[in-house]
Amino acid sequence: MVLASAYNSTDDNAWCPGCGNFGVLQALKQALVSLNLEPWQVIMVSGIGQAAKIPHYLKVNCFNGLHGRTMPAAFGVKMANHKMTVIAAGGDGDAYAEGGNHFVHAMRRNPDITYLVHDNQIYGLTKGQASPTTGLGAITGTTPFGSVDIPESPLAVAVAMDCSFVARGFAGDIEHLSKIISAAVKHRGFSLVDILQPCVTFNKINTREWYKERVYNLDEEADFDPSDRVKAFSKALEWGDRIPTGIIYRHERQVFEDSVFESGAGSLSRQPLVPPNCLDLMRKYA
Amino acid sequence: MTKDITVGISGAAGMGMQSISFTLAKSFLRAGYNVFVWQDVMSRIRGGNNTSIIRISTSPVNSIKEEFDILVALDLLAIKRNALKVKADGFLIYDGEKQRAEEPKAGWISVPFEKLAAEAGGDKIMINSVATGAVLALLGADVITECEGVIDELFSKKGAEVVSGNIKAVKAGIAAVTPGVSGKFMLAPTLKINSKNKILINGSDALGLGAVSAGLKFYSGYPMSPATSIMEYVAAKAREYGIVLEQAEDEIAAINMAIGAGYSGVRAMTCTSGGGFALMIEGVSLAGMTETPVVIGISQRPGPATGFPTRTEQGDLNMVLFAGHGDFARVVLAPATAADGPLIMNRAFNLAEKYQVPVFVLSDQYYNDSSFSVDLAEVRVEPVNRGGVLAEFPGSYNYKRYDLSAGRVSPRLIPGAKNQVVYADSDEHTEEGHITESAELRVKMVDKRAGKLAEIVSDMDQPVYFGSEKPETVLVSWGSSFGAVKEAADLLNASGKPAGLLHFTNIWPLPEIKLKFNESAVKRFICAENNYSGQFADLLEKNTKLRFSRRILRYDGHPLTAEYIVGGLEG
Repeated sequence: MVLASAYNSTDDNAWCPGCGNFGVLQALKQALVSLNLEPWQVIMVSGIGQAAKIPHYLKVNCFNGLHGRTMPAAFGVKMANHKMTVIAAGGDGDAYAEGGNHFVHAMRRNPDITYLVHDNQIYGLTKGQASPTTGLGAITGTTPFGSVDIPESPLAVAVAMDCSFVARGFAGDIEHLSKIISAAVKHRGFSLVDILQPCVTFNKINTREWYKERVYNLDEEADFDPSDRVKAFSKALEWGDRIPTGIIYRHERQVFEDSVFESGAGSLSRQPLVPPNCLDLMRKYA
Repeated sequence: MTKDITVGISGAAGMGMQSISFTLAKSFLRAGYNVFVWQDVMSRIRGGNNTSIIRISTSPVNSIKEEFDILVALDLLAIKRNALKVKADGFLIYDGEKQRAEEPKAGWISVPFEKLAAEAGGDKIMINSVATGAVLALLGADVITECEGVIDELFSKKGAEVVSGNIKAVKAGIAAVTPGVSGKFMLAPTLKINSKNKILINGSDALGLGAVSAGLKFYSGYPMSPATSIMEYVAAKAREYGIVLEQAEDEIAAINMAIGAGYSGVRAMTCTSGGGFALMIEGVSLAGMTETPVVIGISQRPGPATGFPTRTEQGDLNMVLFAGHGDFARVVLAPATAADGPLIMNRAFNLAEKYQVPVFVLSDQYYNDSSFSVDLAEVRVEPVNRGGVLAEFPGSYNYKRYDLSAGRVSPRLIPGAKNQVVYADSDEHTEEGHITESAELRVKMVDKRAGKLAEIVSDMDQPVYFGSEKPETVLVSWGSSFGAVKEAADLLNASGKPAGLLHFTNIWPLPEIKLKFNESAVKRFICAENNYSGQFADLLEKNTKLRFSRRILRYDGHPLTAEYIVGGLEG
C-alpha cells in the first residue's frame, strides 16, 4: 500500500499561487496512489514550461529534457525500461507547437506511454504569448491585434491519428481528472490526456469560471460510446458553450513494445551487457 | 608484371557497376590480393553516370588513384565523362555494337556485351558478367575459380541456370579480348594463403558492426546519405541481437530518443550526415547538460545545405567540435579504415559511459561507401567498460545523480532501482537533479561538466606514425584520409625524400603530442585534409605545438589521393 506522502517532493514549487497545475499535481498523485505504484517504479519525462516542472514536485524518476522533445525522449526511456510506468508531461506549446511533429508520430508508434498535456491556451513561463490552442482573436503579447491563426483541436488530431486513448480532463475537477489519469496509465498503448488548466496570470479569458460553466462529464451521457471513432471525432470537435471531459476515444491496437520484445522479457536496461564477438561478425565478410 | 591496378566501372545508375566491382574485388581478395573499392555516384536512382573504382594490389591499399588502367564503359555517357581518365597505355572496354559515338581510339577494346550476354545466358542483364570477364582477361590473372565461387554465392538463390549462365558470360567476356591484348596488365602473382583471415567490408558495415559488438541496444535515426547504410546494418541485425531500432520522424527526435535510452541505462546511438546533425545540435547540448552517454555517428558529405549529397568531404569537423550552446566536454573520434572502425566504435561507447558525455564518430562518404580488404589479424577491439554505472543504490531515496563529492563524473544509477529515483535535468540543477537558481551551484556544475575534458585526455590515443625515422617532410592527416596520405608518404620515401605520416583517429580532446621520430631534420609539417580551410590543421595549431608550412586541401567532392597530395607538395 503506497501512501500519497511517499510522493512528496522536497523541491521548492515555482508555480503561481492558484495555478491550475496544482490541481493536475494533486490528481496525478492520487492516480499513482490508486495504481499502487511506488515512486521508483515510475519514470516521468517532461519538456520545458511551467507544466513541465511537474516531475520535480513529485518524487519519481525524471528526465526533464528540452522544450518540445518530450515524446522522443519518452520513447527512448520506454524502450530501455518497458516494464516501468512512463508518464510524460508538458504544456500546450511544448506538446502541440514545438513538439507537434513528435506528437503525431508518437501516436503512430503507440508505445505504452501516458501524455499529460496541461493545456492553458497560453504560454505562461515566457509571460503570455499565443499558443497553438489560443482562441481566435485573443490578445496576447505576440498577438496585440488578436490571434489570427485558428486554434488546433488536439483531441481531433489524436482521433484522426487513431491514438489508442484520447481523453480530456479539467484541473478544476481533481477527482474526475485523477480517474482519467488512472485509466490512461492502465490503458496499454499511447494515451493522451489534454487537461484544461486555467492560467491565473496570463489567460484572462479561459478562466476557472469560464471552464466551469462549460465542462460536462461524458460519463453522464448514457449513449456515448468511446470505441466509436466517428462519434469520438465529433465529440473531440465539440468546443464552445459545452466542452466534454472524460474518455473520448479508446481502443486496443498493437503496442510498439510488442513488436520488439518477447512477452515476459525484462527491461533492456536491467539485462547484463553481453555483446556478440566482433571478429565473429566480421568473418561473415570473408 | 603489374603490382597495382585501377579499374573503373562506369555506367548509368542501376546498370550494376557495383555488382561488377564486388565480383572482381571479392575474386581477387580470395586469390590473395589486396583490394579497395570506392563508389563515385550521382544523387539519383536511375540514369546519370556512376563509377565504381576498384584497385587491386599486391600491397595493402586503402585509397584510390586519379587515373584508370582499365575503364569499363557500360554506356555512352560513361565514355564521355571518363575516357580522359584512362592512362595513355590503358584500355577502355566498351560495347562497340551499341555505343557508337566517335571514332575508337588506341586502347579501346570493343566487347559486344549485349550480344555475348544473350548468347551465354539468354539475358541482357548478364552483360555485367561479360564485362567482368573482359577485365579478368586484361589482368591475365587466374582467378576464375574464385570468380565462379563469388557468382555462385551471389546468384544461387536465383537458381542453377542463372549461376551457370553468368559463369558462361564471364568466360565469353574473357574470350572476347584478343590474345594480343589479353594479359596486358598481367598482375604479379600472389599466394592464395594471403587471403586467409582477409575480409572485404565497407566502412558503414564496419561501424555498424562495431556498435553492435560494443553492446548497442537502441538505435534511432532518420535516413540521410551517406549514413543510412549504418542504420540499415543495425536494422538487419536488430532482432538477432535484441536491439530496438526506430526510424524517427526527424533528426531532432532521433537524438532525443537516443538520449532518453541513454539516461535509462542502455547503449544508444544515432547516425546522420551534416545537414541532419544541424537539427540534432540542441540534443547535443542536452546530452552535455544532463551528462547522458550517447554516441553520434556523423558521416560527412560536402555542404553547405544539401551540398554534394553523394560525394565526400571532411568538412564538418568544426561543426562537431563546436556544436551545442554552452561549455561541456565531448569526445571526437574518426576511423582511418574499416579495420579500425570496430575499435573506434567500441571506444566511443566506452568513453561515452565512462565520462557520461556525447561521443562523436566522424566518418564520410569515402569511408562509409568504400570496401576495404581487412586482415582480421590486425583488427583490435576494446572490451566493454561501462564506467561507474550502478543497478542499485543503498539507502532510501538518497541517491544524487549529480553528486559533487564523487568528482566530475558522478556514479550513474539506472532508473528503476528499488527505493531510489534518478532526476536528470536540462535546466541548471542541484546535485539531486532539481532546477536551481543558485550562482554558486551553477559554477560548480559547469566546472564539473566542462572539466571532465582534462580527465578524458588521459584516455586518448597518440597519433600513429609511419615512415622515415628522420623525416624531412611530415604529412599530417586525420580519419579516412589515412590511406591516401600514407601512400603519399610511401611515394616520397621511395623517391629518396625522407618522409613520414602522422595520423590521428583520436581527434578531441587532444593529448600532448609525443613525436616518435627524430625532429632534427624536419623541414616541413604539412596537413592534408578533405576540406576547404584545413579545419584539423587549425585545431592542431591552436592546441598543440604542431605548426604547418602548408595545407593540402581538397573539396571537389572527391577523396584525397597520393597523386593529389604529391602534386600539392610540388606546386
